[in-house]
Amino acid sequence: MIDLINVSKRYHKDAPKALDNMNLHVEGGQLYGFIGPNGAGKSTAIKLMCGILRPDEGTVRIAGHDVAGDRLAAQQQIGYVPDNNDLYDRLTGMEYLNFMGDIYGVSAADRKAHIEKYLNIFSLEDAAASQIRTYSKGMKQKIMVIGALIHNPPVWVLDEPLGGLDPRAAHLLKEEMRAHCQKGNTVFFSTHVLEVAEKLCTRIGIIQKGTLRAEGTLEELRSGEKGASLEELFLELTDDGGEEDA
Amino acid sequence: MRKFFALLRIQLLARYADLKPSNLKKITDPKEKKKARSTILAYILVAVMFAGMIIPYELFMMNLLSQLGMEEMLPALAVTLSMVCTLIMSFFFIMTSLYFGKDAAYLAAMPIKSRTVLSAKLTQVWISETLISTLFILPASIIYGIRVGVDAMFYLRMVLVWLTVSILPICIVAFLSTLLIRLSSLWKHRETMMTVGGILMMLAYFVFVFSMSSGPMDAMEDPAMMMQLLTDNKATLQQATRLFPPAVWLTDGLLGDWGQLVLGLAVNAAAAVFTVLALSGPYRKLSLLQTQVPENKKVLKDDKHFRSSTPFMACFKREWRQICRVSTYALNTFPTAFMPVIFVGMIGYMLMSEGGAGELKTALSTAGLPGGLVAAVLAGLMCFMAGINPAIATAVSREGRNGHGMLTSLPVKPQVYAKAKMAVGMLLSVSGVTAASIVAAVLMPGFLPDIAVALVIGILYCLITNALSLLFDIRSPKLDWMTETEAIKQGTGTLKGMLVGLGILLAVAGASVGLFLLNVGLMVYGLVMAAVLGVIGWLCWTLLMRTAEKSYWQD
Repeated sequence: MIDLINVSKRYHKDAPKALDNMNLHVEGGQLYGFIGPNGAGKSTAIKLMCGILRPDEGTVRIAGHDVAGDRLAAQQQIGYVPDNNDLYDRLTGMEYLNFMGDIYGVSAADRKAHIEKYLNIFSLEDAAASQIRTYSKGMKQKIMVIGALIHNPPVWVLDEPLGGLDPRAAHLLKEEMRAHCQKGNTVFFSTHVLEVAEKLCTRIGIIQKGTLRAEGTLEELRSGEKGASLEELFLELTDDGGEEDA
Repeated sequence: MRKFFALLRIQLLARYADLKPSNLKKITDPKEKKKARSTILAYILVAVMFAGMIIPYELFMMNLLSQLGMEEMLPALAVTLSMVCTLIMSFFFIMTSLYFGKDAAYLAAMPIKSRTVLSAKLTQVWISETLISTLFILPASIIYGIRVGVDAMFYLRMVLVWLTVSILPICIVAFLSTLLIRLSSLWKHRETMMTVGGILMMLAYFVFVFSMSSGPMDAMEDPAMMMQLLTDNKATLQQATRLFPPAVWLTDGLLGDWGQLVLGLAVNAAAAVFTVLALSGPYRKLSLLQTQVPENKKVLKDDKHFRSSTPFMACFKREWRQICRVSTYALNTFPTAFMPVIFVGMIGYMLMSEGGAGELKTALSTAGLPGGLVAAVLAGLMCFMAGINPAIATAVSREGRNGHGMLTSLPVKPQVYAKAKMAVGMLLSVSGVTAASIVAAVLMPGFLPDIAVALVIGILYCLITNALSLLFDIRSPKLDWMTETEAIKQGTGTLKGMLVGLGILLAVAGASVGLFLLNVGLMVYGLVMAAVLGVIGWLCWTLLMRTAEKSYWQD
């Protein structure tokens, strides 16, 4: 479903590589957790998958579509939740969801069913008519999630999706993520919360300084370090961690 | 004081960081460096442009005034005009600086007194307004000093007056804007009230300025006429500069009366202290109130809330709602739609009061002037105003870094975004030229064919300027901004768009003169202009679509 093949990216000529010859393969049915310290290249990788950035070298494929060559088709397969939800705060929640529905060509009947279902799940019915800037951080995150999933995409790409959500909403979203994968779809998400990755993911990738330091199931990652927790593995693999943003 | 200076520094950096040379050195990305340089150049260009307009006018006035033995009138006029300008032009700036900054809640959480925050914000406003006053006070005073031959102390007094002249108007505006904010907070839709109130104030202001300046502007072309105007209105002019006592104290002080100067300085200082003391109480509450938005608890179950439309319409609606719902955007973009109406309306009204359209027609045919002249002049007036279109010139910049990232993640061709932005821009521009044509048709019913030709030229001109303005913004948008005011005003997009518009307007005027020299009639003139502008418009549109495809992604 998601393929990064020898992908490199730097933001300008003199900058260090934000991603350095990265290879990543995520299959259908996998719930993939992407972890790494600040500035490791997580957001860059996600932006490349979503077609926001173009790779300097290499190929990014989503559900078989080359993001550089057939961007629109690749993007149609993705539901993307950005890490920053401070976007269209002058639109009402409903206007935003309709905007996303129109962009992805969702019929009126389908969008009604989807919007009502998710507004109900996330308890946002009363807020849908208000402008997004009146929402709390968690409410903004919820409306972004509903908008990203409005076209029922096979690939979910979520950048820090649980940040700001209350425990109930976080639990519901995690359930939705699991259910989505059980249908043979893919969920790729970045997180700083190692416990979430540990409990939720079927596969985990650890990135540091633009390169994938380790990847596999939790058991595979632990195989070298018997009995080590994900936290211990993470600290060991990212020991030379930098702080600059990428 | 430490907190005050820290706050002031932050306020100034937020506004002028782009102009700081040391910041330019720190930029390593060549693309960013180019952008920063172009911003500095744009500021310099604007300053030179205004100086180029004001200084020759002041020299011209000094020549006339010295013939009348009224040299001191030039600094008096400069002080009065500077105060009036600050009073009128700074209204929205002061209001947004005080009450619409995104930092209100952030600052409120810090252990800083409301008085300190207000003082820092007002000081930032004072520095900005003093920079603008420079254009009025310094050249006029220096021209006067050289012409009359003054001592060195005059220049010391000049500096003191220059630094003081904007204080009292700022204090008055701070009180008025606080009052407006207090009143608007009584109403649920306060932003709408702010936008409507702001537009009404702007309309009143332009009508006032136009009615005041139309006489002297005509006379500017003819020194004899100007001299006559000055002689006839000598008493009125002197009276006007003596109407506002604080202006009189500063003027007399500048011209040598130390007592009056001390009085002027003391009053301004007292006004500043009083303003801070009186407003610091309500300031915190009112600025925080602006961060709270009324919620709409309506439950949306009706099918009409789930209507689907095309991606183009979705982008168009998003763009339009953004403009309408942000007061700063509305106040900066809607003038594109109503300024041509005011401009044409005023000119039409003047024509009517000076004998009517019938007389003009007779005069034109008697003088053997070309048939398309009225259409060309009318088109020129409409285009000049409609060509300044911040809605299109900052359309990509306003998306901001995160919004732009989000839009580029969606499966939409960049051309669709460009078309939606063009549709919003054209809606404003075409509304402006169409409404102006209707007003012209009402005021000058005898010139309907000329007005129709002007309308066609106006629409095609808007297509060209809007396409080019958007093209520039796509190629180098300013996506990193903190406030909406910065998004629409601080970038160079509007300025570039305006310069492009003026360039094309000059080309259109040149083409019109060429056609008139060939003695063509109105119909031929209209057809040729429409064909040429249509072809250029098509080329610009094609170029815009190609640029959108190539450059909309900002890696």
